[in-house]
Amino acid sequence: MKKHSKGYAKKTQKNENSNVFLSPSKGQIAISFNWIFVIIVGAVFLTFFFSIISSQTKSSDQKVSATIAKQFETILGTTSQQPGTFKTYRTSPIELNFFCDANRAISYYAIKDYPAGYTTYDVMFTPQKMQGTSMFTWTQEWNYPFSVTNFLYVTNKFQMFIVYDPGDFGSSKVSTLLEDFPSNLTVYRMNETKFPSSIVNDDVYTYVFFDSQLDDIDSVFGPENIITEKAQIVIIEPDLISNIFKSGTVYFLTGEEYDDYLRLKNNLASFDSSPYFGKASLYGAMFSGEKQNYDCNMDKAFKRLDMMNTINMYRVENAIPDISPVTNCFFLYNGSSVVQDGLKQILGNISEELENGFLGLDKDRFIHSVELLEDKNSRVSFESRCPGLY
Amino acid sequence: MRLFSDNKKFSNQKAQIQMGETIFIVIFIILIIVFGLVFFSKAEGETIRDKQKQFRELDTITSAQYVASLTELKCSSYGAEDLSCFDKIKIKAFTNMTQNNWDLVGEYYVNKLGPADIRIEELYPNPQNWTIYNYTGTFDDPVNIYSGRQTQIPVALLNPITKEKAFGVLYLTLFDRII
Repeated sequence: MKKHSKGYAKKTQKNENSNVFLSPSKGQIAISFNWIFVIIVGAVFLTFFFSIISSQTKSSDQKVSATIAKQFETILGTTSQQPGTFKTYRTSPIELNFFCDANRAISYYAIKDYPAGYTTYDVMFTPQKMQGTSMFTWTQEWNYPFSVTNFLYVTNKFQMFIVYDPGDFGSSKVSTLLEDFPSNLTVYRMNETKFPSSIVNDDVYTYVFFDSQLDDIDSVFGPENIITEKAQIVIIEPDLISNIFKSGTVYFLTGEEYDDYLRLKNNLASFDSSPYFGKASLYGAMFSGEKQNYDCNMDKAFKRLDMMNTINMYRVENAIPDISPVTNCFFLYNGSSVVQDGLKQILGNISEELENGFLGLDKDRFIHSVELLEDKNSRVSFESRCPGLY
Repeated sequence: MRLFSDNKKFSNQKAQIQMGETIFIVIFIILIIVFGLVFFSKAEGETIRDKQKQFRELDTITSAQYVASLTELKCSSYGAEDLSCFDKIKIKAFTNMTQNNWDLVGEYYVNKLGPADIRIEELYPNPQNWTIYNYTGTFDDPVNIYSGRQTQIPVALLNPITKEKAFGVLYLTLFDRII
């Protein structure tokens, strides 16, 4: 057996001792690095999964919004093609905001604050904001004098219409105004014994009065204003008492402005006003409750009227060659020194008057031209083998 | 000494093997995640395609309903419209207008119908046809058509001067853009 020197034994012992010291620290470092590695990889995985979850949540919200927006677009598109229909739609809790600006030619609706659809050519009278789980749509055809387009009114159960119905002679105008109103809409008839209490939450209260009722309302309810600041007031001034729908002026006031009107006895003409033409247009003023929305949608309607007028002009041009030139029908279409203006000339006049749109319209001249057209079309309809314009 | 170096070699090998195991596990997990993501994205893609198809069908219904109720074409008498009838003079007038006055009316109908072709064909008694609307994009907004969905609607046609009635079909073809 080989004998080692004492020095060798000491050296070996020393090495063994130092190995004893080195191995544990090497292991500790290895374990530490292992844990660091695990933590880093774990953090990477967690970040990755959280980012996937977050992007999926956003994507899911967007999918839901897109589906709701598409369904809403379809509802509006199909409902507006069926005049005279009233429909109720149940939705998930939804917040709709409607925006329409005639000067900038922008018109859209938004689900919460995200623009969901453009309504550049759709005539829709709505409150500015609608919340809830149900929605009412009502469509009325606008004829002036021929069929132009369908007006769509969108609202919900939180919009209340309040009319003054004294129950006497003045009642007939109110009854006429509301005769076509769907029964599902909330209409409150107030008189000297009953009036609505103050506004609850964000309900939209639209007061609808005739100009001839204002003194009665003032005397019945006194100088104390029963109308709160949040309310919208629409005051109707028809041109003809016998036909309140034919044409007239609507005044739009806020509750605060109505308070000024009562206190200061301001002239009604100092408030925002717009003309209305026909029943559908008057209802549009009631559903809008404010001038900007009403003017914007009527501007769209008048652009459509201009288009339909042009189509009718083309129709007259296409019909004239097929009409015998010695008949009265021909003169009614083409005009003559005897018949004077025919359909062709009257439509041309209307086209000129529509050049400035609804906002720049000369109301009296326009109404006169329309009445001429109505008269001419009636005369055409009585002629044999003479197609009416509409 | 030799035993010590053998032990050292052995523990190094063991450590390498363990490290290799860890790396393989990590790679394996990553592969599973990648496969999961690929599968999920394919499933999402199918869902989106289904939704797209559903939306296209809704568009077709809306457009067909819109065209079938166009006031510009409907027969009317004393202000009352006949829902099932198209006026031949109005059809000719509308065709002339879309061809000669596109600036006035084009934007409106493109907004309502988009890229589409609308044709009315009289089948009996005098076969003839009118293309009342055809929009497949402009130089600034080209539409690469890859498919068209056609809807056919039978219509009665009336000549309001002679009061003669005819039978025809309205063909509505909606085009899809390539995205």
